[in-house]
Amino acid sequence: MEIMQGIIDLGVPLIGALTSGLYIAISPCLFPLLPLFLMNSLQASDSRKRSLLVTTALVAGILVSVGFYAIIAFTISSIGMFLASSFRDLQLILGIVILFFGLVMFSDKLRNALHLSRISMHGKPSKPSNLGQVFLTGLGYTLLAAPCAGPAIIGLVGIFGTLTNPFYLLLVFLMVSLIIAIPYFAIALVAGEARTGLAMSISNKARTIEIITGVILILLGLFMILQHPVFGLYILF
Amino acid sequence: MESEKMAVAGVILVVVVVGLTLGISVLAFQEHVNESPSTEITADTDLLELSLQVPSDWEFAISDGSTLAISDLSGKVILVDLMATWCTYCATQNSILESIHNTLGGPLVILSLTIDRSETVAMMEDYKTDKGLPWDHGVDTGASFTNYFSITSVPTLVLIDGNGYFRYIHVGVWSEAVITDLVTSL
Repeated sequence: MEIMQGIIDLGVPLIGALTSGLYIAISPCLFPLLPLFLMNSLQASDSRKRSLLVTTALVAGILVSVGFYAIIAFTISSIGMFLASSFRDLQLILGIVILFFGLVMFSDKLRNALHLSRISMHGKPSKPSNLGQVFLTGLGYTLLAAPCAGPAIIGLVGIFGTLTNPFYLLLVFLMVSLIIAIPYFAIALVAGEARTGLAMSISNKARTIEIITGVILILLGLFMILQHPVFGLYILF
Repeated sequence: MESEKMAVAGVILVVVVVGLTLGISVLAFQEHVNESPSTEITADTDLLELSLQVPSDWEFAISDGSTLAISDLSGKVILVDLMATWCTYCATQNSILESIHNTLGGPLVILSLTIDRSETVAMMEDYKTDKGLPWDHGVDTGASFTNYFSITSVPTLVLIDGNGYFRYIHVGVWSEAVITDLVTSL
């Protein structure tokens, strides 16, 4: 009896952590800008050890920012209650924010009219001179892009909220960290020349990638907005 | 943007977002949180010694349009499933509750209530029909359970005995074996 409950107590949060982590990892607000930044930060001549060190600093920045939001919501019970009981309202607000950023990403004219030209792949983070700057870029960029990953972060808060066993909590956090880190470490492990070639290729197609990202964000934003009960087009899970 | 500026902008955004969220949530819940006994309640332990009786004036809007007074279920063991239609784990819990309903239905009343304040009885009716679930579904009217137990995660399940006392609370998916064991012991 207790074995089955134990499997449920660990297995269900682990699956939830896997999907939330995957959503954060491939969130269109983080991709493709942060991987491009990572590719630019790594020199072709960098040793594998140095590449892994730079990547670790960037991933640590991302994880600290995700953990920061989750810990605040988890430790202040009234915020946790608010998130759980207002999820669809919050999803509507986040959807509007994502739709706005999608339109800005999609349209050069709108971006210039709103003086938001820095939100483009041409305005990517400057090349860092040390590991601290890499960490701060991961931290700052993920904090700024948090609305995009908002539903996954709220989901993580809910998952952490069900865990009373500290060991399970640690395992679930490790699962989230692992899923978020995989794409970045994959880049770090690619040979230096191939990485440089890939970065140049992405830079050359920056506008195309912006348009694709913009369309994804617009669709994601619309989907989130339409999930609100007032529109009657919600999906029942 | 330089990394330092980006980090500072990010931290400012966090302070603004968290400040706004905290302000709204404190306004919405703090008064009730202070009144609730949730600090004394431990999940998965028998709450009998706390003598927490279900408030007799609690009523819930049910998906068929009726209102269910918790006092109407006096003498029955009640399993309250606090959930939301967007919650994927709640679907896992539903399959367990279906099995429980088939084996223990009658002496045990199952009641699923959404804690999401934007979800309506019409939405709950859609949910009940879509999933083909036989027990009552409704909304946590007045956020009664949410405030009383300071619910931060779904599903959360509350077991009430035949004398109207809160006996157990479990956060997360609850296994069929544990529920069956506890219900038959009450």
